[in-house]
Parts: sequence; C-alpha cells; structure tokens
Amino acid sequence: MKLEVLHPGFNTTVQDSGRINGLAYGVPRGGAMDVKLMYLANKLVGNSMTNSVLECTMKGGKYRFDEDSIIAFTGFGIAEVNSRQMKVNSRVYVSKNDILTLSSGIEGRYNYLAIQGKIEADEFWGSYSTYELVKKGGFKGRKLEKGDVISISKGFQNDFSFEFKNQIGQYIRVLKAPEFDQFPKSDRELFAQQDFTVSTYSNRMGYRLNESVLKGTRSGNIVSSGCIPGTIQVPSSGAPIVLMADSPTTGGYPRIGVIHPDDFGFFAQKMPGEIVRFKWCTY
Amino acid sequence: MKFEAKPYGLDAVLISFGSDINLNTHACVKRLYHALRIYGKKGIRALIPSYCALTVMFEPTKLSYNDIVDLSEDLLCQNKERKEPQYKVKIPVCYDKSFALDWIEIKDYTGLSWEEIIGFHYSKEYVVYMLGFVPGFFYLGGLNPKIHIPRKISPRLKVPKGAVGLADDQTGIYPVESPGGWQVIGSSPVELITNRRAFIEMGDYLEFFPISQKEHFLCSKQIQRILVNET
Repeated sequence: MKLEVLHPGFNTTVQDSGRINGLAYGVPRGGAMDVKLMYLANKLVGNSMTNSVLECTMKGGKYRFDEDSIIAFTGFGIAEVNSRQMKVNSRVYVSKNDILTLSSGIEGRYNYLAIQGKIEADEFWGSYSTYELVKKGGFKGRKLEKGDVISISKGFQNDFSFEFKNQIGQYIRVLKAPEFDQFPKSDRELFAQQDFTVSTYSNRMGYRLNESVLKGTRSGNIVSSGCIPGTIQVPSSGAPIVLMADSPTTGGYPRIGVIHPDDFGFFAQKMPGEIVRFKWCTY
Repeated sequence: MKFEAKPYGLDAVLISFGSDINLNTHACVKRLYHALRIYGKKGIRALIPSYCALTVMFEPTKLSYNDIVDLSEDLLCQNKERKEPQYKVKIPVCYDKSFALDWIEIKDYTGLSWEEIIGFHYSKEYVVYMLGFVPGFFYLGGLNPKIHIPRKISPRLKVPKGAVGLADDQTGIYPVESPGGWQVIGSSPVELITNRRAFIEMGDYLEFFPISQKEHFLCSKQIQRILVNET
C-alpha cells in the first residue's frame, strides 16, 4: 500500500521506540517523543507496539491512501477524513483514495499516526527512527515533504485491546541526577517552586526553559560525561535545558535532575510558552 | 581504583573516577566499561563511557543502584591482570591547502611552516578518549602543543563534512556538516557515520595518514583498524 504526502505538515517524521545500542558511540536514543502515544496508536491498529509510526509535530499534514486501510491517530490533535472529523485515540477504517488531514489541538505538541502494517523505512543502528541531524533512519533521514510516497507492507495483525489512561498530573516528577548535591540548597528548593516556561528554542534535541533563576554549581561546568534523555542541565546562565530524544549522548553542563521516565511524554507535549512545574520524587 | 557512584534517575548510575582528564582515569573507565560489557545483558541496558566516568543504564526490574555499585567494585577487583585487546585506527587526511580552510591563520598563529604543522599533526599516535557529540565523532588526547590554536573568534555557520579541525589541545573530524569554530587543517574523505557498528572504540589508538588530493577525490584510501597487542 502507498501513502501519498499531499502536504507534509510542520515537521512529520517516522519514529519508533528508538535505539539503545549506539549510546557508547555518540548515537542518540531517538524515537518517539511521547512513547506511550506511539504504543497506543500501534495497539489500536493491531501492530506490534514498537512498529514505526508517523510523529506529527503540531500540524500533521495531508495524506491520500491508495488502498483501504486501518489507522489510528493518537494524542490531542484533530483528524479529518475527506473533511469529516474522525475519532482520535480509536481505530478508524479508511477507504481507497480517502484524504486524511491532521492538525493540532488546543494542547499537545506531538501526535501519532499508526497505519496497520509496516512502514518501509531506513534502518540506522537497529531503529527506523528519523535522526535529522545526520540525515539517517526513517524516511530518507528527513522530515516528510510534499510529493513523498511512503510504502506500507501489510504485516501480521494482532488482536487489539488497549487501555488509554491520559493521566495528566499537575507536576512533572524529577529524580536526582549526578550533580544534584553540588547545587546550593536554595536551587534545589527553588527548582520545585518556580513556574518555568518552555522556550521557543525547543525541539527533538532539547527544550530550553526561559527562567534564568538558578545559581548553579560553583564551577558551572563538568568534564563531559554520558547523558540520558530527560536530563535537566543547568548552564551558567541559570536557565535549565532539558535533554530530549535526539539529544547528544554526552554533555558538559551540571545536571540537577532527570525527568521520571513515566512523565517524559507528558513533558514532551508542552508547547513553547507553556508553564511547567517540577516536583522532586524518589521512585 | 576508587570511584564515586551517583544515582542518575530511576534506572542509571554515574560511576566517576575523578575529574582529571588523563590516561590513568581513562584506563579505569575503559576497564569497567569492558568488564560490564562482558558481564553482559543480565539487566544492563546500555553503557556510555566518557573521559572520567561511565554512565550505566540498567533494568530496574532486574538490578538496583546498589547492585551496580557492588558489581562495579567486584569487577574492578577481579582479573586485574586482564589485558584488553588494543587496536589502532588509521584515518586518511588530505592536508592540501584547498581543504585546509584556515591554513593562513594556523601558520600565522604557530609561526611554523605548513610542512611542519601537518607533520606534527599526523606523525603522532593519539588516544581516543571518548565518542560522543554526534555519531562518528571522537575526542582525542595527545595533540602536540606546538599546534595548539584557539577556536575561531566567530564560528563558521557551515563546516564541511569531513573537515579536520584544531581547537586548543583538541583535534577531530566533523562527521557531518555543522556549525563550528574549530580551525580547519584538512579533510578526510571517509564516511564516519556507520549504520550498524562503529569503526572505532574508546581506548583505541588513532593515527592520521596524509593522502593526496587525487586520493581524496577518488576516496581510494580507507580507515584501517588493526590489533596491536597480543592478548
């Protein structure tokens, strides 16, 4: 089956659950920014959970199907089939020549389109995720463009069942990172009291936060060492930077904390200008 | 081999051997990295070695923070005599002035002839301290102080893929076109970003060897990785 890209949207890429075997070699984890929504999309159409999906950043684009198909669009966006609104977060049947239009909702940044079957994509270090910085993986190593034709091979179909728990808490839970003890007590307390705003300088590599309120560690630098996505770095400006899915594997800024893995997707969904609040936790 | 362990979220630990970049600390990181790799997949998800520390990501359902600390202590005490295979990687570089975008600045700053400069660059065995930043990038130790030169005052918006750069006591190759402030001394025609396995490991020795413009164009010289010790 073929999916024709009539409009690519703002930044639509092929993503799966990412790659872990290249972290020692500078290859970032990558993968969906909100993994739970990717799992859900795949489950709804009967794919295996980690199949590749299309990750839509805000506006998702316009697509034509050349065969009948089963799809699911998950997240907070709006989807239309031939200009009629379709249900999101559920299984939907589309017909040959149907046109699917995906747009963003009031909240949320990333939405996911799963199509029953397997998206033909390039493999890079064991994953089909697009890694735009080095133009590898996914669909030709880049975001989709108008006129692209994506092939989908009909795959094995699982039974579908799911449980969609959209637990949105007020806070983003944060655990200690290696340099936690080096930050003054006032920083550690302020970090959990301050309202932070997601900067416009935020993408799949990292989200900057606007407020330069932290004093930081005495030296302001560390010898570069291995970092994991979700890490909150504090450069000498005092404005935190959160490392996201495509972040470099090593970094030289002191790390005050790391986002709880279960809250990573919730944080990833924050739009530029949105307020976030953190809360220390231990498990 | 004393180390300090720090919790890093739910499922990672940073094992740090201090904060001095030198061959001794590097050797400690390398030993633990190899030992944990050999220890295998029993709950260890990924390892990221760096100058002075090792980031260990584990499966919280199988191992705990304390397990990783104990395991690291045990592994570092065991087989102290064990010698890891040592490899040397050789990478072709063309130092022709058409590729050495900053040859005038480098010459003026160092006060050396171009032949001397490139001689100091390639007649040297470097140590690969760590891999990171982007896929295919390596951090080397051992650049001759005679060719230390600060970064450019204003960075280039586009440094070409394959550019070989100098920055203070560092030298390296840009695996992909990117912005950057390193002084460009030459170019390597080889592809550093591999799709499955890396051609280089932290701890390898590395040497550059000079090639002609024609060899650069034809890409006729490749990377070699050779075993240099008996284990």
